[in-house]
Amino acid sequence: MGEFRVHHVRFFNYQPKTINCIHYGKEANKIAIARSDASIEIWSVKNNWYQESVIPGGEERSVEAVCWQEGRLFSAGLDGDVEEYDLQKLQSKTSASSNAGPLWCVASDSAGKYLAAGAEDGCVVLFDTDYNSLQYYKSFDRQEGRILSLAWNSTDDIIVTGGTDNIRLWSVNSGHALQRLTLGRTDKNKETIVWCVAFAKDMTIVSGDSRGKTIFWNGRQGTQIKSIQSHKADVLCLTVDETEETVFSSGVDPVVAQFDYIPAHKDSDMKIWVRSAVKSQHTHDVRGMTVVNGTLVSGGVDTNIILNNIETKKGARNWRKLNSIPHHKVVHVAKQRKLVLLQYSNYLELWKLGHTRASSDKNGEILPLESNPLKLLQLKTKDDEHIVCSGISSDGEWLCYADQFSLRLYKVTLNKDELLSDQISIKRVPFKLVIPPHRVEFSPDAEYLVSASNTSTIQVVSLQEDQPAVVHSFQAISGNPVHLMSVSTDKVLAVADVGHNITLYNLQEKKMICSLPKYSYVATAMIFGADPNNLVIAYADQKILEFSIPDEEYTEWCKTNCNKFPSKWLKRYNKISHISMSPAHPDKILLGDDQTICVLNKSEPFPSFDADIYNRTKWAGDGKANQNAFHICSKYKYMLHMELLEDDWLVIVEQTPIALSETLPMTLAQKKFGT
Amino acid sequence: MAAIGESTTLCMHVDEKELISVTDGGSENEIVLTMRSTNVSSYNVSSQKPIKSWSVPRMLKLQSPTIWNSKSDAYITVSNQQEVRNWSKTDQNIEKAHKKRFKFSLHKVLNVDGYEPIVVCQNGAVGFLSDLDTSSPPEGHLHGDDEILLCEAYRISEDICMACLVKRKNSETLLLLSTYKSDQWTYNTSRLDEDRNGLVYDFVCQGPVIRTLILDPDGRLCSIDYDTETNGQTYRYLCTLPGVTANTKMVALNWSHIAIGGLMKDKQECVGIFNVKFGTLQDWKPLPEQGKSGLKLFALHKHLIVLSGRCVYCFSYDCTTSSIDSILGNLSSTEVKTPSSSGPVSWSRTSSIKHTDTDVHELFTQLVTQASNRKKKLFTDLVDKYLSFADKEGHNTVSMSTYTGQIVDLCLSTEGFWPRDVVRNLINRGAIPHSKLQRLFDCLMSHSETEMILRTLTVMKELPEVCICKCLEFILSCEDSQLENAINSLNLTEKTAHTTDDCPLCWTKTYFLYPYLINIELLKYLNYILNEGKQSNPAAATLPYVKVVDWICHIVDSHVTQLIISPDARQILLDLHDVVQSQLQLYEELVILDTLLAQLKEKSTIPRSKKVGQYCIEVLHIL
Repeated sequence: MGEFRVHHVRFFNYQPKTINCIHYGKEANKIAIARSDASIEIWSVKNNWYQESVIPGGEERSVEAVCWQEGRLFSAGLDGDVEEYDLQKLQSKTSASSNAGPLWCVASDSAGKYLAAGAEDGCVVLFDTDYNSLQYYKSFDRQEGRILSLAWNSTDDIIVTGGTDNIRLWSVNSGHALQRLTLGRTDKNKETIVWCVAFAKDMTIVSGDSRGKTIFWNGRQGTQIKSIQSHKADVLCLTVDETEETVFSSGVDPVVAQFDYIPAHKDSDMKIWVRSAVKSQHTHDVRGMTVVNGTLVSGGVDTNIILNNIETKKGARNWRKLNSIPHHKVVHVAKQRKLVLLQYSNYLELWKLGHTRASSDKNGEILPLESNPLKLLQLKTKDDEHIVCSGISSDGEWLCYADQFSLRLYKVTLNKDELLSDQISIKRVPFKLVIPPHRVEFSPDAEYLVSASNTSTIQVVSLQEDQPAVVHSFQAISGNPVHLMSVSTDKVLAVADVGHNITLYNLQEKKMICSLPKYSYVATAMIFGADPNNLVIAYADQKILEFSIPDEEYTEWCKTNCNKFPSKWLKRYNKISHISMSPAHPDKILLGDDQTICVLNKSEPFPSFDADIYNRTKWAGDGKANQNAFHICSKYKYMLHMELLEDDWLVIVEQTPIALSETLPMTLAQKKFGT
Repeated sequence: MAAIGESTTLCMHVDEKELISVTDGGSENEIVLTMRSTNVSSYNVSSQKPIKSWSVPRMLKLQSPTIWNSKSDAYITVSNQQEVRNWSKTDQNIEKAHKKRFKFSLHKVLNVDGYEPIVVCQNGAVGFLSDLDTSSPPEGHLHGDDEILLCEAYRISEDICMACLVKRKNSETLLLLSTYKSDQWTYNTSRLDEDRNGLVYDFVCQGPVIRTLILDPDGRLCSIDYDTETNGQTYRYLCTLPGVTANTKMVALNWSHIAIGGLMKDKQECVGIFNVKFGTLQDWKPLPEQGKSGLKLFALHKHLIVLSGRCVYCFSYDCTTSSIDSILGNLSSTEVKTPSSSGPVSWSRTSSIKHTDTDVHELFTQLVTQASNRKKKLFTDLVDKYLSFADKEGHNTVSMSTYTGQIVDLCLSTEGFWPRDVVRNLINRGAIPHSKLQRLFDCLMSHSETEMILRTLTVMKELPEVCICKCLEFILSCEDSQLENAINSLNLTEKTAHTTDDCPLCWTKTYFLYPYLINIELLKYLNYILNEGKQSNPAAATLPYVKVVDWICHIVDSHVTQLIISPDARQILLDLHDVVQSQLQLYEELVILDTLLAQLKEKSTIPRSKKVGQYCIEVLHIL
């Protein structure tokens, strides 16, 4: 179907960071995942677990806990402040100091009026968040030793905290301790640290500690109900489901233990806590867990997110892994010069791809290189700020990146006599954007640089003049962050935001063309096709739609086929994050997620709804391949980028699972059979 | 003749109820053992080594023997009555195998080379795996209470024929034939004429005929031949097997041989091969474990695989098509075809002896008279006349061969003259009976007919060892010039016979030669060939090199005392040792070279994993 020569790039050493904590916001129907570099990812549950946006972190910062409250997102860290985030600008909005040293944990009451944070100094600090505010309210009595975990009870009048060697119950009204629950030690000189606490049904307190024990307490009387040695090492996180009758715990020993509150005997009213299931899907420490609509979400040092469907019947596969490959672009290609711009967290690398004139008909053959790939440039950000977005023009002459505060634009000059020596010079262009961008995109002829600012306005920068200048601004359509942009050769700009809006602008005439019909799922990738009048969009529900700009409606092909996608295609979990088309093959749409490349041939018929698109020959009977529009290749894992160059050239940037796992720290030593 | 080798243990701890069947594993000597709920294992039957094993998941129950289908390169079986699972040799477990789930009950999957797997439904319907609709079964011809006794598929010319033996509730036995012809399945059900409660059943197919073998508990073995072209049935009683017990199992090896397991012979249970054509037990071996119930018997890759007790044993067997000659034991091998002649031919049991034509009888009487009258010319004419009679059809071959034997006797015993041309003519026609060969050679040697001796060696096959040894002695004692003349008078095609394995010495069993091998001249001759072979290409030597070495070994081994005592042999032994030593040196070098080449081959043939490294440009084809 498709025969390509592939620049198979594995020198992009992208390293996802450890997950520190996970929290689900019921009102927003999103989860927030804080990583060790203090970045916070926001994943949309509604859009089939799509990573909508990322709040950038920083080297000097730390996020120890995140918390949703009424659609607002808060975090607490070792700087001692509770911060609230602007979910449009994707940066800190306000912060309030705890006045009690570093904060280890934060939790919201059920009414959404207060936040409680556990501090290093040993006191619980309450913050008033009513009326969209965030201010220090009061501190409880100070105890000895830090508070590492806390939880509100269902009536919001008691807070339980976990610290060193003890668990305390506090009255919210008085700020005094109501009870002190003591824990034993396995070693006389080794403190028992309560890493996590939670409230379950019937005022039961659940705690996980450094001895690997999950303990159930009677919260009213302060007595221990049951202690279960559920893990071989520290229990770092606990979560309780909506019914409060199921508890999950995990930690340094990466198995997830499930506990259920069940009748002691048949027809008995007395209920007991029992360990019911153990899941071993993580390879390293599990640091955060939460339950989302019957799905247990967990993550930790192995950087992956595991979704466990806790309501699935026994026997069926009930879990899947969301790997940590970002859903936004971190690789950009200058097609004309065959340059690849790699975006790391705080620096950029510019590589020139290798070259060969050889070709072969044999699938998988590695062609001899006439020139090796060459690193031309490494550009570090100022003050090690994290990069929000970056871009390179198609001719490789313009390069830019943006951090949370500013955009930096560079003029790149490559030595023309590149066969002998690749000389590069780079010069910063003095240009300042008033509002820092979330996404930037160069027009194919490098005439314009388009910036989607953090206020969702679109700023058009002309690069033709001696001095780059903003020539026009389009006002924001909605208050949602822009996450995708594409510019056609006809200077038509398509902008998609996480609020499911897609808008088309004409850059030359400086006017808005139209908005696409609002689809029920967010767009995950979009590109102007081989015909610049058509925009191809991939959505989070795996549908691929094609919109005709002159007609301002979906194309005939799209109307005919949009409801004919086979079930196996629609049931895919991975989101299409790359689309590429070539004028040489106008009928072929190359779609790529992190593990699959699919050539969608528009000239071929769609298969039946229940067709097996992954195995074209299986069950075909006559030995001939099924002729249908879907041609799938699963050779690469995990793909960070896929883009067609001219002719039959394709760039694929891959980070293998082995390469990802190699950089992870040592895991808990476990005795395995046969070792 | 058939022969069964010694038993070897293939695997242990096999439960009789678990073992469904043993099937062909697709490659040479590979067999697959299908256990109902524990595992599917493949073994090399010649080395008894396990190749691979796939464990069956707890929730799964296999139902059909696992077959290897070369077209889809996969193992295929039926599980849980409604699933067809297929997995390749590289797959690690059955649980993740590809499944095709049906909403109706399946009985078995069958394999026919060059075709897709064939699925047999419980209702008797048949279809190719990919053609079958998963929701509803094709129309079948069996009822719910019908018991499928046996089910096999055969390729008959360009069609596929699936034969299924079914027992109805009213003890009626049906043969259901499903034929795949012109892209569609046609069904044909026929009630077997002979209803009987057989102990064991099996099918065997030859040409368009499918034979159902039925072994009764009383040992009667019957066959019902079903001609797929004419749809006609022929019932035949074959023989009665002695020692059949309730534990006896049967499997057909070919059209005329069956293997029987659990047969009582000399008060012990044995496995044997029967020739159903002649009703003879050709070879048998006692079972390693006696008195165990639940015996199972399979035949694959020239091995009988027997489950006895909790062990699976395998016996290699050799089974060639029998003729009466080979049964009578006159000939060392039945592989070499005897030249067609008017002389002795294989006898048929069924043909009855008719009266000889009176003309031939009269002619023979005249011949005897002329021989006694010592009239060579007349005798020669009469023999020619007789032979022209013999060439005509319609004469009884048995009586003719009797006359021929007597004529040969006459030729050899006639004292007055030596009928050279007659004898030559008889030799050329291959009309000398084997019983007269020894006398013929004695006579030829007494007349120093070197050329005729060589001619007889060339023309006549399967000579008695005594004759060969006598010839050898005679040839070795001949002068070189005499031999050269004799060879020159033979034509070229006859000469080439000596350079191939057709050389009469080559197919002679060495141990028959023992009494004659103490000839020093022979040892000298073999030493000469060995020395020649060193210098020239061993493959082009007059005798196969291996055979020469084999003979020398036997001579030296069996006559070591005589060789030590004999002063003549000393020099030959010393020469032989020199030759062998120099050869040894050569072979040592060759062994080193072989090892090196094997290493190189191994390195060059194993596909190396391609190293992508940090970057590469590679070709990608998306199908």
